[in-house]
Amino acid sequence: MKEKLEILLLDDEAIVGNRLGPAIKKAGCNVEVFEDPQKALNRINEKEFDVVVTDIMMADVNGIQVLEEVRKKSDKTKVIIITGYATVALAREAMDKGAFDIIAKPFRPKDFLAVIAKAADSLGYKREIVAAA
Amino acid sequence: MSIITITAGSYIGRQIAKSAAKRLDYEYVDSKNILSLVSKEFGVPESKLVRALKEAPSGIGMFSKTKPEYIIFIETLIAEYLLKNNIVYYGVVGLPLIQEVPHVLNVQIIANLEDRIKNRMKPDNLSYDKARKVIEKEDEEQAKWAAAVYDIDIKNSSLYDLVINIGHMKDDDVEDALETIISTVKHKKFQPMTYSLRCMKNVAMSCRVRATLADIDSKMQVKSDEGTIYTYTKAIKKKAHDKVLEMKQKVMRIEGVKHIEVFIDYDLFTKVAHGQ
Repeated sequence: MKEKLEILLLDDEAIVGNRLGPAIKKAGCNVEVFEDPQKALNRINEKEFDVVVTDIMMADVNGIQVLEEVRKKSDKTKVIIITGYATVALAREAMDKGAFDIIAKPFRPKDFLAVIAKAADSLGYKREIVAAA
Repeated sequence: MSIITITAGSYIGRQIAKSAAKRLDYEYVDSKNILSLVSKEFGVPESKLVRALKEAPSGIGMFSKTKPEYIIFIETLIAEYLLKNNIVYYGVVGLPLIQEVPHVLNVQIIANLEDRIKNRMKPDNLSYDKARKVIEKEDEEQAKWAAAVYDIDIKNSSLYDLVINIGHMKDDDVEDALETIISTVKHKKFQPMTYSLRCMKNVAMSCRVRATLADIDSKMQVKSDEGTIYTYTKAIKKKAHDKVLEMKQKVMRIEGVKHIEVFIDYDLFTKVAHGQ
C-alpha cells in the first residue's frame, strides 16, 4: 500500500485547480492538476492514479469521456465527477459508467475532501484524510 | 440505500410495494399512513387530510381555501421521511418533486382491467358491475387529482423509470414484478451519490419552506440549495416590506436555512434560482 493517495484533478477552469489542489495537498495526498483534458488523458495513460477528479463540461473532451478512458485502463481508480450542470440524466449516466461519486458545484472544499476520504476508505487507505483548518 | 416510488391504479400496487419493502429490508410508507404525523405536526384533522388526498379540484376557484396547504403539509413530511433512504413509497403525492432526485427509482404498475375487477370483488364481496365502477372511479379520481395538483398525466410512462404490466395479476406475475423492481434498484445508477443526496435535501427543504409560508401563499414557488432559499410569490405587492420581512423571519427559523431571497419578479426568480 502506497503512503499517499495519488490524485489527478482535471478542470478547465484554473480557479478550481488553484483552490482544490492545495486543499488536497494539505489533506496529505499527492495531486497533479490539469486544465487541458488531453494532457490529463495522456497522464492517465502513463500512470495509474487512485482517484481521478474531473469536470464534465470542457471543450474537446468531456468528463464522461475521461471516465470511460479511466475505466478502460483501470478498475481500481475511483472517478469523481464535479459539475456545475448536474442533471438526473447526467448523474445516472455517470454512475452507470462507473463513476464513484458526483458532486455538484459549487461545493465547499471540506465537502469535497469528505468524498476523497470516502474514496480512500473504499481503496483501503488507513491514513485519515481531513480538511486543513 | 435507495428510494423506490410505486404508483399504480390497480388494487395490487400497494401490496407489491409492501412486498418489495419487506424483501429489500426497506421501510414502507404511503401517503395515507403518514397522515397521523401530518395531522399532529400541522394541527389539521386527519379526516380533512384524507379528503385532500382523494378529492380532485373541479377547477380554478373550486379548491376549498385550505386544501392546497394540506397537500403541501403531506408533501413536506413525505420528503423529510425519504431523507432516511431505504424506503419504498407508494403514492402520487410529491411524485414530480422527487423525480428531481437521481437515486429514486420511479415505478408504475399496470394490470389487466378484468383481473383488477375480479380481485376487487373478493375482499368486499362486490358484484362485477359494482367492482368495475369502484375501480373506474378510483382511477379517474387519482388521474384528476394528479392533473389538478401537479399538471401531470399519471398514465404517461415517461414519468417513470420502470413500467411493469403485471397482466393477469397471477402469483407468477407479481413475483416477476418484484424481482424486476429489486434487481433494477440495485443498479448503480439508483445508488445515492453526493449530488443526489443534496438534491433530496433540497427537495425536503423547499417543501418545509412552502409549508412554513403556506398561510401567506400556497402557490409560492421555492427553490433551495444547501440552505439558500429562493422564493417567488404573487401574493405580495411591490414595496410590501413588512410582508417580505415576515416571510424572511419565518423561514430563517427553519433549521439549516442560511439565507433567503424573496422575488416578486418571476423572470428574475427564474434567472437567479434556476440559473436560466
